Amino acid sequence: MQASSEHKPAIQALNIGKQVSSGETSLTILDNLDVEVAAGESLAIVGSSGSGKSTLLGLLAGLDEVSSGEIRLLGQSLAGMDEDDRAALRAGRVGFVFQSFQLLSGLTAVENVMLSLELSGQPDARQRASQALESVGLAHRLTHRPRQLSGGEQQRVALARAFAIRPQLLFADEPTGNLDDKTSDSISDLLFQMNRETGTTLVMVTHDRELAGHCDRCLTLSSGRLA
Amino acid sequence: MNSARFAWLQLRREGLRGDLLLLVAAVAIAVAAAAAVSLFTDRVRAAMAAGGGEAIASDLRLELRDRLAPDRREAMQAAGLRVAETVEFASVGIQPGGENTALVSVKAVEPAYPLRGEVIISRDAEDSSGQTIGSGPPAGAVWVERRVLAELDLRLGDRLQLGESELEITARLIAEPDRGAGFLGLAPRVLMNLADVPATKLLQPGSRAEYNVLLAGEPDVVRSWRAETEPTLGRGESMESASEARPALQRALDRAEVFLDLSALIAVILAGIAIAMTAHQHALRRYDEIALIKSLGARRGFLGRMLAWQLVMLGSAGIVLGLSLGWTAQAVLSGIAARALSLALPGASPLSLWPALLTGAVILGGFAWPLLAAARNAPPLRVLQGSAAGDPATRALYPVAILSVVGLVAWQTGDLLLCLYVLGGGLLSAIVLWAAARLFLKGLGLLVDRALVPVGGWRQGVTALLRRPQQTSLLIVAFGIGLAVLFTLAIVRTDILASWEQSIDQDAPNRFLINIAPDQLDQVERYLSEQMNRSPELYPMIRGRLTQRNGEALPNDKVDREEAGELMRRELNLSWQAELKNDNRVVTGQWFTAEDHGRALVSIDESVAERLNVGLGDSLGFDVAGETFRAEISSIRHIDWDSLQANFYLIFPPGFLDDYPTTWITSIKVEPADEAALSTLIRRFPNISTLDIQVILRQLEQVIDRVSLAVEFVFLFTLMAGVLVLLAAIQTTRHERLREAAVMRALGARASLLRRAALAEFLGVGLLSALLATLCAQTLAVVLAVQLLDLDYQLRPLVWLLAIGLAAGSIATAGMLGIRGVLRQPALASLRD
Ligand SMILES: Nc1ncnc2c1ncn2[C@@H]1O[C@H](COP(=O)(O)OP(=O)(O)OP(=O)(O)O)[C@@H](O)[C@H]1O
Ligand SMILES: [Mg+2]
Repeated sequence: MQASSEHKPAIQALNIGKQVSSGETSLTILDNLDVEVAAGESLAIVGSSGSGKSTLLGLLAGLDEVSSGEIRLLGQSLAGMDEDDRAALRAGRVGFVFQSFQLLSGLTAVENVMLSLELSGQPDARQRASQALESVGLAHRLTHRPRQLSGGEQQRVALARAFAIRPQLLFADEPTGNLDDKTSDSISDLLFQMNRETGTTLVMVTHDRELAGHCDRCLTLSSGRLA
Repeated sequence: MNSARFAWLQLRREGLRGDLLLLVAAVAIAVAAAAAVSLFTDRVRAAMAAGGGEAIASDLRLELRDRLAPDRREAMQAAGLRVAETVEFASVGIQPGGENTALVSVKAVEPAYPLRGEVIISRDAEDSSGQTIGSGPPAGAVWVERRVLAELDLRLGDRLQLGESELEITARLIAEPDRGAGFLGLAPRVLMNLADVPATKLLQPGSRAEYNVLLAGEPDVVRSWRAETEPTLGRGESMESASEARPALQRALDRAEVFLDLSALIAVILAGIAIAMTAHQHALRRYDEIALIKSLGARRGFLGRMLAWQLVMLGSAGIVLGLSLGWTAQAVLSGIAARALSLALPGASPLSLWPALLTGAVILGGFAWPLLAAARNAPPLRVLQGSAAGDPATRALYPVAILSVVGLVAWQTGDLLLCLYVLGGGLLSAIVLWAAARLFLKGLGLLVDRALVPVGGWRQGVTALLRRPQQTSLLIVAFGIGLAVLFTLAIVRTDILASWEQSIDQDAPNRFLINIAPDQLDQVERYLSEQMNRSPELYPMIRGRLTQRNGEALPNDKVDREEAGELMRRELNLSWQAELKNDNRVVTGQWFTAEDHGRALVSIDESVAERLNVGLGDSLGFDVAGETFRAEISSIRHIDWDSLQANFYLIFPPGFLDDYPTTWITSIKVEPADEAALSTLIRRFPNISTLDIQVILRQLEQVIDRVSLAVEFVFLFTLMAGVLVLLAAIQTTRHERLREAAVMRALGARASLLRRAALAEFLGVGLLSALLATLCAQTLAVVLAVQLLDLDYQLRPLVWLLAIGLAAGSIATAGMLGIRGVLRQPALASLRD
């Protein structure tokens, strides 16, 4: 699996567009985009607020459906797939890191990490989750709940959750957007370090030029088009 | 990972938070209420039926053509039944050594008589209250009615000659439980021991006598024995249960069941509302989590199974809790009931818990599942866009919830009409409440816009209501419906029970005067009005037999009692009346007009029409004093037996029965102070006899008492369910309130302002929902009382003002208690959550 997908592009998006309609007015968020991400590559998507970065990320990850065009994810076309099929495609292969962390407030740090391991049916979930938290420097906070952690710590838990399953693809939407400079530096260092170690393909949306500069390639989005 | 294991892990890790705890509690309450009904009320029903058994001194009366054969008696006893034989016949009582004789109606009983109810006797000549006794007279003794003593000029302790025996009069008979409906026109009663009968030589082969076997036992035993035996009865043999023998009592029991079913049902529906609210809250909280799990690659099917498992786990906890709660509560209550009412309840069986179990499953499936099922449709895009990505549609809830309520109502009551009323009422109330709430908010908005609401806490509270119109309206509908059912139940419990009691108590006569000769009419009427200040209606009465239907002879020993039954065998009381009595109502056809007088027409009771299978235009043939005639059915009537007045199955127009021997009958209410005057009347006209129907009244009262107790018990669960709805409602807004309060405090609002704002908000919701609930409940109660229970219902505005105040006050208080933590929590903690 690893070998075959390394030669093909991890993501291919052809001519994709996204319209939303509320009532009678129809709004074009993305217009005729072509994006290709090679396996192992890291891609940054930058652009001003409201330019459609998150929308594009959601489409590339198969969280939403395109209005036009076609996307191939890990070698498979998303066309004709329903939500369940796309979820099955993601399972165990795709990780996420979000601006707002998205940790489950009822679960402890280690349980949050275990969630992704358990869902992809991997054995020794607790042990591997502990290891993942250790590798992001949170070995001593395993049983704390999200509200007892600072923003930077929460995002580390999210990173641990994303990398614990050793994903082929990692999507990150402004992973440092809610953090101060110092913390965001340490988070981005951690992100790229883990990315290198696991050889994961990375697609990251960011405002941060410096962070984008760490990526192999950078796409600039402006009003739903590539600039 | 296995969905069940994942569901369990998630539940265990998150722990029982507020909303889940409420869910479990709501299921427990609903199940407990249902369990209480199926356990306790089943037992009370059985006990009440047994109480009703007093009407025939047994649970089942078997009428035979001769004495009971020993092998049949053995078979009955082997089946687990208690047996007592009675023989009734007419005879002549003689004053030993004197010249007085009197026609008497002898009833010979075994010592075990009565199997249900009690005989009332008095050992002193004047005492009219007497003492109750659980057996018949011992061998050698007779108990006789006052009239026997009067007509034969005898005293207690004297001897009475019956046939070839002389028996000692040891007591005066005041009442016997099974003095059935055929009592009118009977000669005075002599109660004797069955063992003394052979010595009298009164019963020879071929003598006319009524042979009855009284049977009693566990309800199940009686029922199955009847089902088994009834088809094998010989010619002229028939069976009758207590309820068949006493229409008034049967109606009381029927109403009791409606009350009980209604109260339990309302508890269950209220709990259902609480469950729906908490499930909604739970589902809402889950959207983000589900979106996240989906982004990690979980499919809808997996999520659906996981949510279903969680529901099963929580539901099982609630059901087990509810079953044990219901079991314990009914055990305690049965103890109290047994002591307070000296009512021995039959044992409860764990098997009768299954309807409660089913109720739990139905409300979980109907109210909670649709919401949770909708949650699994949360779009995964929420992980990026939050709630902007949209919420899953929850409209699916309504049809399922409504269907499960319909199913529950129909199943619990087995009464489609009631089901329709409950549903129609509920639906209509919801719509009215929703519309009213929206209207109210519009009005409030106008007030705020025009700056008519003073700035400060109150204004904050009002704007809080306006800020979430959808939610405010939902709260008002939920509270409104909850309160409406509580109020309705309260009305049912108190007002309707009261007016029911009144409808029986106040004007109900307790004494019949029978056998008044036509030439005594004027004198009796004058005496009653002058000496006793009573002016009752007097009715003519002619004894006759029903012999033909549409020209064909009716068999006079029907085996099949469903049809003609004892109408054929017994002499009937025929009457003629010009005016329709006010406790009678014509169902079909027309009451006699002036032109009808003297014509061959007859108006019959609806039960007669049913039993004879006849309708308007059919003809019936009668035999009165050896003469036969026919009459055409011109109307069918409904008789309100609760009035306890003299009523007649068969009424003819005036002028048609003039040539037949007629006596007159009336009923009056006799207070203790009137007894002397009544005695004088009886002494002056010795042929007139009085009949005390206090026993019937007492039985009805007892049934009402027992019903109240049972309803009160189930009402307790209903109240608990109501409290749960309140808590659920507060819980649903708790999170939002925490944030709002934190923001406002951060902006410098003082705690007192927040408190006033919250108070204004809760008071607004409370007042409006209480007001609307009152209107709904009133309407519902009137419909219930008039349509279902056949009662008059009176509005009582003052009670309602109090109820509104109380309800609004409690909602506000509970609301303030519920958010106490919110106001106290430091702003920082709320904002971090
Ligand atoms: N479901 C939707 N309905 C209506 N408009 C939408 C919807 N989703 C996105 N939009 C609009 O599309 C535009 C792009 O949204 P998107 O979230 O992709 O922007 P973004 O580039 O991620 O911005 P930011 O940097 O602020 O996160 C915005 O103007 C947004 O309001
Ligand atoms: Mg964005």
